[in-house]
Amino acid sequence: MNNTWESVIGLEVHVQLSTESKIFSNAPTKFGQTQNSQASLVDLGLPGVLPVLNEKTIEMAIKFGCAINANISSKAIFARKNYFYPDLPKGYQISQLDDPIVGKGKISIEIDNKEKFIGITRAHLEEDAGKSLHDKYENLSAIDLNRAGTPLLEIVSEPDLRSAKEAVAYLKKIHSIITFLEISDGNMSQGSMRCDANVSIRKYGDKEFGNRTELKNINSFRFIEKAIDYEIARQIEIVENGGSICQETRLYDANKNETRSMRSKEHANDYRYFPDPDLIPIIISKEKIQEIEKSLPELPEQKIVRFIKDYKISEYESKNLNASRELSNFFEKVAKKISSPDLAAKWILGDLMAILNKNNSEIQDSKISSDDMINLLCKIEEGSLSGPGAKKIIELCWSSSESIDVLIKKEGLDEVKGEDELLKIITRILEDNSKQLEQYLNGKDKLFGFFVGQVMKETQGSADPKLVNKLLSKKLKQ
Amino acid sequence: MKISEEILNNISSLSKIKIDEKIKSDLIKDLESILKMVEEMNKIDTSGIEPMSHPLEEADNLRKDEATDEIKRDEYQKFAPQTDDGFYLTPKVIE
Repeated sequence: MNNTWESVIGLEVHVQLSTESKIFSNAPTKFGQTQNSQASLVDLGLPGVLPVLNEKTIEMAIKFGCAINANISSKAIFARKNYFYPDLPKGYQISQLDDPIVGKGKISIEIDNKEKFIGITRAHLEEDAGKSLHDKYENLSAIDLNRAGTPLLEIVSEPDLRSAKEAVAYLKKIHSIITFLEISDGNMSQGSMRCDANVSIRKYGDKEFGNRTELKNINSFRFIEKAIDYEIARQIEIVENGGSICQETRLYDANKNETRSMRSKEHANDYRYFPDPDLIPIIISKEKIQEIEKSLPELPEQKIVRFIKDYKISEYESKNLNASRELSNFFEKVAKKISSPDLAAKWILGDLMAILNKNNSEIQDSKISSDDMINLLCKIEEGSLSGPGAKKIIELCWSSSESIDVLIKKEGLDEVKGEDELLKIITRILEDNSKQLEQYLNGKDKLFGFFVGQVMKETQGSADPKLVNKLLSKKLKQ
Repeated sequence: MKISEEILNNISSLSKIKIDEKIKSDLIKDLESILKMVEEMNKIDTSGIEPMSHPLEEADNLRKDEATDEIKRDEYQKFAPQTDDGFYLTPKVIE
């Protein structure tokens, strides 16, 4: 891009904690329910109700803090952040200002094969707001308060990120930490993890930061990269044309791939925080923190190392397989059941990932279960199913309700041809294609592939390509 | 500290409380006297004292993570000025 300007980025990541009930009420937190069917009197902010803190949210926040080696506060205080918006019925959001539960920590990311540490300023607990629908009624806003009171952990980074790529790597790292810790499902399309980005530019070597803009509510890894790249380019253009950056909140429009100013407020935000008198400070004992630290599940970094050692897979494969907890678990289930785990790594990262990507799906929505994968790979290992055959089955399995075994039978892929039968087919194909045979024998080596293709076509992919190669070269040398 | 009309209007808009023109000058006097009292309090030496956010401390004030609330939506919606199809309705607000 541009060599004069350095971009400076800090992220605020909101993570919905996967609790059964809300942070301050006993209402359920299920996603996708009928409007206002998950909003209790506390969530509605009715007069006279009192919030009572869900102990699990504290434990989850401490888990995260331990995972990033952060300072855990011995005391957590909740404060009221005051603003008016219809999806916030109390007129304030219960959040934290002083004494956030998680203090300074750091997270390592990998950029161009180099490790870089990104500082975490803090992580605090707060409640989510409801949702407003503005296009359902002509002159009215429709409010659904199901989400109101859902526990959030807001993770604030230092302005240590220097490119959109780094921001994505950082976000992916946070995603893997929260999902491996099982404190959130990390489902970005359902809003379980959302991100605001603070973006500014400065000349390389400058100590001071430029004016920053805040990009709101970006909900996919792809969009965060695009939104930040767009914003950096926009700021550079303004400054290079003699303008200056106005500190404001901007909304990213994924359809147009641009950011635009949200209607600017007359006054700067003034949230008038003060300690919430409804909530007594929470005292967190050292013993409690130690107990949680001891029970931390295996984190991605540890799993990456263990997988390489236990399953003899490459570092590259191990990293990719540990991109999410679900994928990591899926692989481990399969790897344990077959004799060469590296085969599992190749098939899961290869053909399974390909079909998941093609269908815009995550591993947890895979129509090919880990048992299906074990079944397929065992068949490949014992030689009763060919590679191309398995490939075909993965594709068929995706859009069929029938079992792997039924599909294999239906496609005739269970009849892997023996040497004799293959030889017959090869002989016939060479006879049928005498012209090509002549060209081949006259030195047109490329035609070897043509013959292999013909055999595979004839056997509908059920033949073992290695065997076909072997038999064919033998035959052609005769 | 002096309270200007501009500050008063800002407080009014932040708190969404409409202030009648007629009472503005009286209100400014009141607010200034409150601030004066705060200034008096600020003179007290509080160095070394940890700020208190709540008079009570260390009670067993956490609850188990259980979704036990029964949501009686229709009943709750009777309090609302306007609802439809399970939604609460407000004048159109777009930020």
